[in-house]
Amino acid sequence: MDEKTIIEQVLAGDNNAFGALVETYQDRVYNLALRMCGNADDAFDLSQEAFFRAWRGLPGFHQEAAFSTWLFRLTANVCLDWLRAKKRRPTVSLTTADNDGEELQIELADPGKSPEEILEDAEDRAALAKAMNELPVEYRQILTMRAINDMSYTEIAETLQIREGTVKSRLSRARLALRNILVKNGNKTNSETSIHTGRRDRS
Amino acid sequence: MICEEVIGLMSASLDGALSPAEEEALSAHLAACPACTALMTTLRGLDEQVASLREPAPEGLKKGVLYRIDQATGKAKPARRGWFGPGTALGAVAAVLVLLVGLKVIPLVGDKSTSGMQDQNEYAAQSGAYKNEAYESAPDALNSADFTQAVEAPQDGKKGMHASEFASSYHSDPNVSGAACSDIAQLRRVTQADEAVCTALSEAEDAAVLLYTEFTPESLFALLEAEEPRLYALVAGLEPESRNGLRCYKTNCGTALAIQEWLFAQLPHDAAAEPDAAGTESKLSVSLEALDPGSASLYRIITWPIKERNVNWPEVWPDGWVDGLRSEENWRLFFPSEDYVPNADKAAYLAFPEN
Repeated sequence: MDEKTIIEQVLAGDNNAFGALVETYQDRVYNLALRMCGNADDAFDLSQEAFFRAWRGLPGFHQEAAFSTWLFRLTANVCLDWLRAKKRRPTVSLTTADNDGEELQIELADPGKSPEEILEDAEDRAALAKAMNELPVEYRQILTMRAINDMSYTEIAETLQIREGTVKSRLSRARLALRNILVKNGNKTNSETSIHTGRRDRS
Repeated sequence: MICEEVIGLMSASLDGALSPAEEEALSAHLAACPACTALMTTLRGLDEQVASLREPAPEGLKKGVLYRIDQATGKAKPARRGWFGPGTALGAVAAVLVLLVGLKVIPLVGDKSTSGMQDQNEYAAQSGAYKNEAYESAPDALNSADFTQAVEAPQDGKKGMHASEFASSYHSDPNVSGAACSDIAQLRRVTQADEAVCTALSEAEDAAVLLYTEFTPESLFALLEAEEPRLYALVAGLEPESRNGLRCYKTNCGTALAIQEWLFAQLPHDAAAEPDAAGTESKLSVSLEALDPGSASLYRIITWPIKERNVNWPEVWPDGWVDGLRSEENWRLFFPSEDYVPNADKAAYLAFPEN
């Protein structure tokens, strides 16, 4: 049964039909919530909340957009609301502006380590999850969508209502930021130099 | 020298979003630049590691969503499980109540309990957002749980009935989390000081079994105060590491099973008098002196209506319970230590329900 039919059934009052939609999307909704809020308990609750809001909002959902991107947007918003309420937004300060076409200064922490050594740290799931949590929420959100939920640039752009160019640049910064956090976390005793990059360096 | 432009190309390359010309430019750059090659290797590996964080949605998510929808549309059946919200103090109380049910001391509460359910719902409404129906996941969890290996065989002959037999009696009870059951054996061995275990527990759904197995009056009170799905570390006197375990506490009846299992392992009792397969009533006798102060408090709480008012739980619950907690005198009965200072949350708790 296709999604459109299922949605029509739900709108016609068949609550159980909504279960099929939950089944289809629950893994991605849960993983997004899990990485955005940072713990399994809250992720479970927030996932439920997101699905519930989706059900409640379904009459106002116009099917010109994909249900999936609408649902993921709802999920992201539920998580953001929760993060605001909990005042648990991360305080890691990184430039997160997404000005397309304008190159920003970003830092590349000098690892003093080989890629293999950095990745060895990342193989520790707890360390990696912790590093993810230290990312600004915009970064862990988009990294989760791309690397965990395997969403395309187009899907991410529609979900977050940003341009694909922004998806691309934000992902790039998110990856670099994650790498820098891992380097710092695994390398706390080393003095670090920062390589400032950007247009200036090329001139 | 690494340019953001190059990093952007690397990132897009990982996503397969580069044109052939761009790929070629990137390759050319990487061939000439060891630093960028190292970074590319790191970023590629990181993506794989991040992908490995992917987890399946927990069992019961769908069930919980559908139950909530049914509630919203008035289609949810008025079942006693409505009392068992993990985010409510009554949910915590219910967990204790189920202990009694399991011991066959009292019969199951019937459907005539709708007024109590209403109270609970009002209370939940007062307590804010994100109340969840995690406990509604129980049937799914039950279906997949392997109860035969749920709990270790009893030690020292203290216990006449294998816990898995108890567990099996919960098979038809929608309130028991199978996941909780399967963790009991492991959690029983937990001590408060075991930091590594507590850390692991901080990610586990049923970490509060720790609370039960290391019961203290304070931790019991913290349980009763659990007005949020997560129990924050309210409990004075616990090791900080233990708070990790407490923080992700969720009340459900699987933990009640854990209490039961634990009590049976601890209490001196006559195995011959235990409930048998036919369900004859338990004549388990409990000696308070044999208990540590925390479990004695637990016992006082669960037996108070019966002993003090000579009534059966189904007739008084939840009102009897709430009345009991409202009384300072009874509070001291439950928590004899004068050192115990209730925190501010107690007032709100005791104020429920306002009629």
